[in-house]
Amino acid sequence: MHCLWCDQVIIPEMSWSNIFFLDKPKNLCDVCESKLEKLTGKRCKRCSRLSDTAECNDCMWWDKHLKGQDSLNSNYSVFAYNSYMQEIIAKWKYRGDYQLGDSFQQLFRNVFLQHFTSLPKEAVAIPIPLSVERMKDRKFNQARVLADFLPLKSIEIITRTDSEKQSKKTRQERLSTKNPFSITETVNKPVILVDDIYTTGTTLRHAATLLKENGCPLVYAYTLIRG
Amino acid sequence: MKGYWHFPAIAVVMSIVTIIFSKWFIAGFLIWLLFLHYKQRLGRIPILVSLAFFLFFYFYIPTIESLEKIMPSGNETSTIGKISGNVINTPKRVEFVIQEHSLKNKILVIYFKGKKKQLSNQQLKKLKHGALCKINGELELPDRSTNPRQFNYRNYLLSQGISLQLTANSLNDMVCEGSSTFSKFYTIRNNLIDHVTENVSPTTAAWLNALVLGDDSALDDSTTELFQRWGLSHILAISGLHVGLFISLLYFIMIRSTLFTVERAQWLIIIFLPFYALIAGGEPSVWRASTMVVLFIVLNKFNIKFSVTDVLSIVFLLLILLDNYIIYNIGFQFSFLVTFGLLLSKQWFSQINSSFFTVLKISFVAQMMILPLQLSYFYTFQPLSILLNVLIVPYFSLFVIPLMFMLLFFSSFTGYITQVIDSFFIHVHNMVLSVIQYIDSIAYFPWIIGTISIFSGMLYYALLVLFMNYTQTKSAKQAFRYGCCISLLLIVLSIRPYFSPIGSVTMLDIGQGDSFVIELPYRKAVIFIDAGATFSYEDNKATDKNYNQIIKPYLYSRGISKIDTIFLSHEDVDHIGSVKFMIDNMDVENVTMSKYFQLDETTEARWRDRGTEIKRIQKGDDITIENQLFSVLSPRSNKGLTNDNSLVLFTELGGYKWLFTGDVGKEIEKEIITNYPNLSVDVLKVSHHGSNTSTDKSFLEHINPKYALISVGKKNSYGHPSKEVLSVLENKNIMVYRTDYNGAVRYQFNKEQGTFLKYLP
Repeated sequence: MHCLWCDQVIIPEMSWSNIFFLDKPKNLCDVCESKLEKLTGKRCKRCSRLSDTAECNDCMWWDKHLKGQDSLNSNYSVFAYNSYMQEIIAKWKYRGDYQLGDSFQQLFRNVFLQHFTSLPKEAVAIPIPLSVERMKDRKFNQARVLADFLPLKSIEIITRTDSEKQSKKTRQERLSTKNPFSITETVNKPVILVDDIYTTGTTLRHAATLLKENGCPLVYAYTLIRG
Repeated sequence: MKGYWHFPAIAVVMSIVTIIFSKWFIAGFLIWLLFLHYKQRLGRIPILVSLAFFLFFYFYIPTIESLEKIMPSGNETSTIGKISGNVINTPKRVEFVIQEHSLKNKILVIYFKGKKKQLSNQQLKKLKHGALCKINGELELPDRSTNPRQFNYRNYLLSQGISLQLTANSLNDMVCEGSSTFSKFYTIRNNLIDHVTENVSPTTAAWLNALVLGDDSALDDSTTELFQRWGLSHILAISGLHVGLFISLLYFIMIRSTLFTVERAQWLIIIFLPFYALIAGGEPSVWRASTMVVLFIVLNKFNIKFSVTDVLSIVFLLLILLDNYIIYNIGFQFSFLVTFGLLLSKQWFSQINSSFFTVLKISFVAQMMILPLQLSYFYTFQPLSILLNVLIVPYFSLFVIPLMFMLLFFSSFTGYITQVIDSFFIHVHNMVLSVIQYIDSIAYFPWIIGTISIFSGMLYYALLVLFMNYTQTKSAKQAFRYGCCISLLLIVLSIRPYFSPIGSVTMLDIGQGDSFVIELPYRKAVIFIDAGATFSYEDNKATDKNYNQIIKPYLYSRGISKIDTIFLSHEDVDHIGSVKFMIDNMDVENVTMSKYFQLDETTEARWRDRGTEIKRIQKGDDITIENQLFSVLSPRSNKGLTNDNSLVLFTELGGYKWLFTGDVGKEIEKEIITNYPNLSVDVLKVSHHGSNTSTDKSFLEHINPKYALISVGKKNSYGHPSKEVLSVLENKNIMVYRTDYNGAVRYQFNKEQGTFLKYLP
C-alpha cells in the first residue's frame, strides 16, 4: 500500500495492539496523517468551531438572525482547515483525484462513531448535492463520497437548482442567497447532512430548513472540515 | 506483503504444532486469516503466501516418529560417511556426527578415551569437518527414556536428524581422510579456545570462551545451574545481546581509528558477521542475531523501507529452510519467541525514558514470552528472575562482555595488560557471583507448576496479547483484569492435582534398584517407598543421576515439590541412594525406616537440619498418612543382615492390596506368613529384584497375588530376575511387570478401580 498523498510505501508496524486484529490498511502514511490537524479541545457545541465558550459568536449571530428558529440542530467537524488540508481538498475536489478521498475514510467514520453515539438506528445520511452542471465538471460529489464512508443508509433526496460556486462568494452574499435546494421525497427520520466543509453554515441550513419544512424531525450536520 | 511477513512465519509455527499436536491448529489459523480478510484487514496475497508456506513446511518439517523407523541394519561392522559439524573433544571423549552414505541419515560417533588419555594428536587431527571416514563398530539405537519426563536421549538425537550411534573402541577404528573448507572455521575456533585457555587464568578463560566463542564447557556445572535456575541462561548463550555489543565495539573502533569510512566499515561488518557466527559456535541464537544485523545493514544501504518484524520473520523462515531440524532446538525456540515479543513491545518500551524501567520491561516481556515453553521443558519458573535479570543483564552487557572482547584482543600480543584485566575481572566477577549465590540462598522460591498442555499454552498467549495490548494503550483497569487472568491460569494449572480424584502408584525405572511413588487422590500426600541411586565406579558412592534425570523431572512435571514421607526399606544404595538429594533439594517432611536401620549420625543430623522428621518403626506398627494406612509386617527383630531387616509394608490402594517387600529373603517371607496366616495380596513387589533368594513358591501360594512388580536393571550383572522366580510367577499365572522391559509402570486409579500402564509399549 502506498500513501495517497506522498506515495511512500506504508508498512504496518506490529505491536501488541494490532498483532491479533490488525489495523485496517492505512491510506495515508504516518507523516502525512500527522499533518492533518484534528480538531481537539474546547469547541462550540453547535458548530464545532474552536471556542472557549459553549456557544460561539457565529452561532449567537445565527440565533439572532433566525430568531431562535435554527433549522440545523448542530454541526460536528473532524479537521481544521489548514493550508495542508487546503492542498488536499484542492487536489481532490478541483483536480479530480477521486482516490484521495479515501485518505479520510477511517477517521471520518471513527469520529462519527465516537460522536454520534446516541443516534437512533433509523437515521439516514443525506449528502449535500452538486448542481447538474458542477457534477458534469467534477464527475463525483465529494459529499456523497464522505456519506458513503458512514455506517448509515445514504439517500439522495435533495437536488440543487443554482449553479454558483459558494467558495467564490463573500460572507454577506452567501448569507443572503435564496434556498438553492429542492426536495424530491419527504423523510420523517432523523437526518445527518454530510458535506466536506462547514464555513458559514448557510448551505447546510438551507438544506436543513427544506427538510424540516417537509416533516423531518431532526437535522444534524457532519462535515469533514470546520472552515 | 511488506509488514505482513509474520503471517507466513506464524503459518510455519502452525504447521509445526499441527504436526506435533493437533490438526485443529490449522483450522484455527485459517479461521483467523479469513476473519481478518472479511474485516478487510488482510489482503489476499499474505493469506495465499501463508497457506503456501504452511503446506510446504507441513511436508518439509521432519517428524520424530518418521525417523524412528530407521533401524540398524544387522551387524554391519564398518560405516562410511562424511563428518558434519564440529568434532567435540573433551578430556573424557571424542564425539562427532557423520552423514552416512547409504542410509541417508546421520550417525553419532563416540569414542571414550578412558585411561589412555594421551591421544595421539596425529589421528585426532584427521577428524575434521567434511572428512570422509570409515568407522568400525556396531550401530546401535541411542538410549530412549524409560520413565515419564525423563530426558529422552534418542529423541534428542532424532531432533537433530541423528538416528543411530556408534561407539568406536579405539582410534584405529576411525580412518578419516580429507576435509572441507568449512573445517577451517572449526580449526580457527578450536585454536582460539586453546589460545584463551593457555593465556588467561582458568576462571576467566571459562567465561571468555562461553561469552565470546560460544563454548561453555569449561564453566562449572554449579554456575550454569545457578544461571538456569534464575532464568539467566540466555546470557551464557551467545545471542543478540552479544552480537550487538560486538558489532558496536567493532564499528566504533573502525570509525574512530579513521582507517575506515562508514561505508567500508558497514561492508566489513556484513562480510565479517557470518564468520563470527561460525567461530562463535554457530548456535541458532547466534545465527538469528547476526543474520538480522546483516539484513538491517543491507536494507539500510539500499534505502529499502522495512518493518523489523518482517526481518525477524524472514530470518526465521530462512533458518528453517537451511536446517529443518532447527525447530526442535530449544535455543532457537526461545531466541525467536523472545525477540518477537520484544519487537511487539517497541511502542510500550518507548513510552518511558528511564533506562531502569526499560530494562525491567524487557526482562518482563522476555520472561512472559517463554513461560509456556519454560514450563513444558523445566516445569517450573522463578518470578523473581525478572528482577535479577534487571541487575545482571546490564552488568554483563556493560562490563563483562565488552571486557571479554578486549581481553581476547589483548591476550594475543601483550601479557601484562592481559594479566591486569584478568585479575581485575576475577575480583569483580567473584563478587557479583557471590551476590547471585546469596540471593539464591535466601530468595529461591521457584513456582513448580508442572507440565502445561498445548491448549493451556495457547490460552496463555491469547491472554498475554490482551494484557500487553491494554498495558500498551494504558488502560490500567483492563490490563489488570487480564493480568489477573494470567495469574489465575497459572494457579489453576498448579492446583489442578488437588481437585483430581485420581491417584497412582508408580514403579520408576531407575535401573538396578527400587523407587516407588504413591500419589494419593486430591494430592493429599506424596509417599515414596525407596529411592535408589546408581553407584559411581570410582568411589562406590551414590550419584545424583537418578535424582536429576528421573526422580526430579517426574516430580516437577507433576507439580510436586513436597514429599510427605519416604519409607526407607534398608540401607543399600540401590534403595535409598537418591534420598539425600531429595532432602537437600526438596521439601521432605518425614523419613521413616525400621528400628534396625543404621543411619550414621552426620546424615541424621543433616536431615534433621533440613527440617525432615525421622521416624523409626517395626513389625506391628500402623502408620497413617492422610487416612492412608500402612501396616508394618516386618522386621520383628534384628536379623543381622540389611536385606532381611527390610521394611515390609502392607497397604490398600485403588481396590488392591499391596505388599512392598524391600529385599527380604525367603526366611522372612516364611516368618511373615506364619505371623499373618490370613494375609492375601493383589499386587506384590517382588523382593530383591527377582533374585532367587526370595519369592518362595510357598509364599506366593499363601498370599496369592494377581500382579507382580519387578524393579530391575536392564542386563544387570546379578542375573536378576532369576529364571526360577519368573517361572514360579508364570506357573501361578501372575501378571508380571518389570522395569527392564516395561520402563516405568504406573497403576492409576479412581476410587476402587484402576489400570496398570506401561511406559514402554
